[in-house]
Amino acid sequence: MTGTDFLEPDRPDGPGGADTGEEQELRILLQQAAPHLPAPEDRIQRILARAARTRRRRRAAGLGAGLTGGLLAAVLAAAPAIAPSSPHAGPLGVAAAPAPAPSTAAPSPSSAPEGPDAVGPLGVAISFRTVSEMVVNVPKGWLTQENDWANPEVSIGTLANQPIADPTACADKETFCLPVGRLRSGGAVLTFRLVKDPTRVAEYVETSTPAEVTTLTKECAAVGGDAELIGHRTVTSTTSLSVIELDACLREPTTVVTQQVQQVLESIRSFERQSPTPEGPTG
Amino acid sequence: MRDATPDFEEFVAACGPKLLRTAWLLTGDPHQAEDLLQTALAKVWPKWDWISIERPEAYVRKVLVNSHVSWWRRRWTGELPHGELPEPPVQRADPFEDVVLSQVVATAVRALPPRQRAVVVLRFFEDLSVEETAEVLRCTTGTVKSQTHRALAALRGKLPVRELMLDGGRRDGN
Repeated sequence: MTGTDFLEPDRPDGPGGADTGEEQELRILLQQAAPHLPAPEDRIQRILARAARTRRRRRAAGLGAGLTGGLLAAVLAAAPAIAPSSPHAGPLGVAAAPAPAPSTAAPSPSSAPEGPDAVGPLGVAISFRTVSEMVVNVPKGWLTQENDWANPEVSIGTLANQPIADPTACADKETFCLPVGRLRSGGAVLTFRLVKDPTRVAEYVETSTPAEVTTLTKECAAVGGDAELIGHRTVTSTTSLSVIELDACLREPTTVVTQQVQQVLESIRSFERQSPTPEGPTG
Repeated sequence: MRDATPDFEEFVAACGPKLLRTAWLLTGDPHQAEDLLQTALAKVWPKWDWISIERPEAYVRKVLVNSHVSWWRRRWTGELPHGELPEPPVQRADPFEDVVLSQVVATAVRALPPRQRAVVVLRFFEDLSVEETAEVLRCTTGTVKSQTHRALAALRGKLPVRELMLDGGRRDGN
C-alpha cells in the first residue's frame, strides 16, 4: 500500500451516507477494468442446449426423488411401530401424534389400495371447470369434488381417498377448509389451487420436482392430518400459462398413498395435450 | 429443443455484452464469466414467454448474481484470497496496461466474500441503489450497507493508485 492509494484507509465514511469520492472513483475504476469480452458465435445454441439438458436432468431427478420420498414416508409412517415409546415427533410428526380419536367419518369402502405393492396405474382423467386447461388423473377408487370457492387461489377442486363432505360444510366461500370429515389412518385429501402471485409463479413455473413435505397447516391439522406434501406443475392454454399447486393433507401416510400423491402430481398436464376427452369430476 | 424466439436473441445480443462484463467482475475470469452468463440465460429461457418484458435485463441480472452466489456455495474452486497483492502499475504507456489493470481489479474484487463482491458489482458497476441491490440479493438494505462498508474497507489499499484516475475519463464510453 502506498500513500497514493485511492481508497485511503483513514477516510471516515458511512455505509449509508451520500456517495463519497472513493465510491465515485471505484465506479470509474470498475468501468475501466471490466473488459469487453467477445461473445462466442454459438452462444444462443449453447444456452438452449443447457436449458434442454437442465430440463432432462430435472425430470430424471424428479422420478428418482419421488421414489426416495415414497420410501422415506413409508419409513416415517412405520416409526411408531418401530419405536412405540418415542415421545418426540419425527420429521412428519407421526410419532408424536396423539392417540387416534374415534373417527366420526363413515367407514369408506376400500377405496385406497392396501399393501405396499398395490400402487397401480391411475384411473380416469378429469378437469375442473374453474381451471379447465388443467387435466389430472384420479387414482382408482378415489373421489373428486368440484369446489365452489369464489377464488381459485383458495381451491379449484378436491380429491380424496375417503368420503368427501358436502362443500357447504365449510363456513364460507372465502376461507379455505378441507371438505372432509376426520381423516382416517392412511387418509388423504388433495387440494388443487391456482398460483397467481407473480413471485410464486416465477419460482414454480415449469417446476418438475416431486411433492415435498411442508409445514403442517392448521386446516390440515383440523381434520386430523399429520403430514402435508406440496408440489407444483405448470399448465398452458392457447393464451395463458397457469401454475397449479397441489396440497396433500395426509394422516399416517402409507407408502401407497404417498406414491399416489406423486402420481397425481405427475399426471397434471395441459388440456390440449390430452387426446381422450376428460371426464368431469365425480363424487 | 425449441428454437430461440427473435426477442430472446435480440435481448442476448443487446444486453449480453454488459451482462458479460458484470459476470467477469463477479468471477474474475473470462471463461467462468461466459459460463455464468450462459447459466443465467439458460435458467431464464424456459420462462421467457412468461417473464414480464418490461425489465428483462433486471431479471436476468438478478438470476446471474444469485447463480454466482450459489455457485460459490456449492463448489470450491481452489482460489484463495491473498493478503498481499502485486504492486499495482504506475505507468500506463504500456499497451498491456488494460490487461494489468483488469487483473489487479479482478484479484482485489475476487478476494472479497461472494456477497460483498456482489454488492460492489451491483452498486458500483451496475449503479443500483441500496434498495435495488437489496431486492436483487433478497436481503435488507441494512445488510447491503454493512456489506458495502466492509467491502470498501477490504478494498482500501488494494486497488490501483491515483495515477489511474488522472486519465480515467479517457476510456469512458469504450
